[in-house]
Amino acid sequence: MRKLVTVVGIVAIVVPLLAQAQAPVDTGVLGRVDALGQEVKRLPAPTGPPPRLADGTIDLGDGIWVSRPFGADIGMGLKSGDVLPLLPSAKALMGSRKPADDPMVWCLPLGVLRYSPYPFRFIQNYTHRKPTHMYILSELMRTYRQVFMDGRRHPPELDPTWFGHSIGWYENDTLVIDTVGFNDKGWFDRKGTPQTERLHTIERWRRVDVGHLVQEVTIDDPGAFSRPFTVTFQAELSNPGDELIEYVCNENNQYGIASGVTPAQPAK
Amino acid sequence: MQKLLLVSMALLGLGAGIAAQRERTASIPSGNTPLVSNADALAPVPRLPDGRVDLTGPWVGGGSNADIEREGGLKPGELPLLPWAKQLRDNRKEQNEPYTICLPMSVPRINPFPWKFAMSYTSKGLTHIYVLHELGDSGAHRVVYMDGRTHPVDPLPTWWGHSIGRFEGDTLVIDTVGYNDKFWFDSRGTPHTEQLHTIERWTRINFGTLVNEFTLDDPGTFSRPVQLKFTATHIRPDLDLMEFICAEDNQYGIAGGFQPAQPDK
Repeated sequence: MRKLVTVVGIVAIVVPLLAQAQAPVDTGVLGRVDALGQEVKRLPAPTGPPPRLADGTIDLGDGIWVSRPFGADIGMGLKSGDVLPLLPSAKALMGSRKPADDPMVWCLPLGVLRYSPYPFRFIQNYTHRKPTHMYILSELMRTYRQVFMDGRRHPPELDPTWFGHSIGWYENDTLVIDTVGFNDKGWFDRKGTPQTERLHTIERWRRVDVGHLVQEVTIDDPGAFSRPFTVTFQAELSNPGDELIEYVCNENNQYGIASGVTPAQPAK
Repeated sequence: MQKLLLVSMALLGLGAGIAAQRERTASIPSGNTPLVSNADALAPVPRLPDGRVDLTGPWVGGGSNADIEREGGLKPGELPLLPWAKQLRDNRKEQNEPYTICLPMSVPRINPFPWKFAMSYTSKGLTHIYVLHELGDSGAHRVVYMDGRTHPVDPLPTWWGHSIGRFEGDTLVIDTVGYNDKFWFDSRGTPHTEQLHTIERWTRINFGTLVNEFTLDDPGTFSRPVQLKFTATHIRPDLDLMEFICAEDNQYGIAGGFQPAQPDK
């Protein structure tokens, strides 16, 4: 009974979200409303050598990143001519999913691959034990992912979670993040491309110049795909002065630089 | 009509959700978080290679929870609430607290969930400190700008406000304005207005203890600024924050006495 009551509560929170999603296209001062940043005019991302930390590591944390293309379809990251090797069961599950089932509209996490259209930021935390954790913050819901950089391994048995268990290391200038322990609730994209608890991802992040970050992800999930495959996306550095701003999904307040709002500037 | 229907559905649903969440907050097994051992707690404060105090944590405590007046070190009735604020507090019901419907807890309410300071070292130095809370969507991350910027002239009111920080010796000082008036300082319902201005002074006095000297200034709510003091305790150092998604009510987390799975030895 209690569970039912909670579910009703969640539905109530989602109803306004859905109402918004289904409203006819509207135009605001920044262009199309609900276009989530696509209409925002931004300076082109800079080029030139990427900055480095004092220890020589490439600095990923000096700005915020916006991934393109958007999270509509993970297949957009495949090499041309390649197709997603979906198992029939996965294809059937996808076919049964409706846009309103997308965890994102229920204010649930986007998981590890689906950043866009929300900006994200790397936090290289240093402690007296040297760099031990990398955090990846998302403007949506203000969630954070933690990546263990202290050389630990995956535990043998994990409680499945949205973000899984991530361990990271550098291979020359590439940040490699290996993740297992996912739940099966996340969607890779708005089409509902599914995952199972057998999902294993290997992300390779390369800051190829100041303004561009290439994310190459190998997805291995024998529960959903007939073979491992690799998708590649590119993120651009957001304009100087941009910061993640507060977006509280449960309030559906739609602030945030993803929606084209810019943070207030300090007094000159 | 459709709008009215939606609104009433939402209100009905939220009401029911709150009842369930009330049950949840009452049942959070707080106090089970494994803490640093007494011997380790007295060890010296660890420092980064540049000599700066390591404030990372994870910590538990250091803020208000049930009653900011008592937990901040004041005697009953000492909090100088203006008459309207006292009346509002006394009329508020615990089950209406925003965080029980997964809205942010904000400053200085962090309990009973563990949290940590994540220091963002970049090629430009320490530019941001993020406060990460285990209470995922309800706590999530708070940003403190460490790059010397000042507050904006007219910030849009938000749950977390606009925070700027600096070190004074070994003390991290965080100054925040630009709060909205929606969150409660405690489950007792102590209110505030958008005029709220907080100053936190965080000092790690030994390995296991972090003190928060907290200045609470809100001329809309209090007849004068007040000085409060909270103390955070270091969690067992080998533990990490766990994933806790409030919107799912999944109740994981070291706050609930769970412990992260350990790697193979």
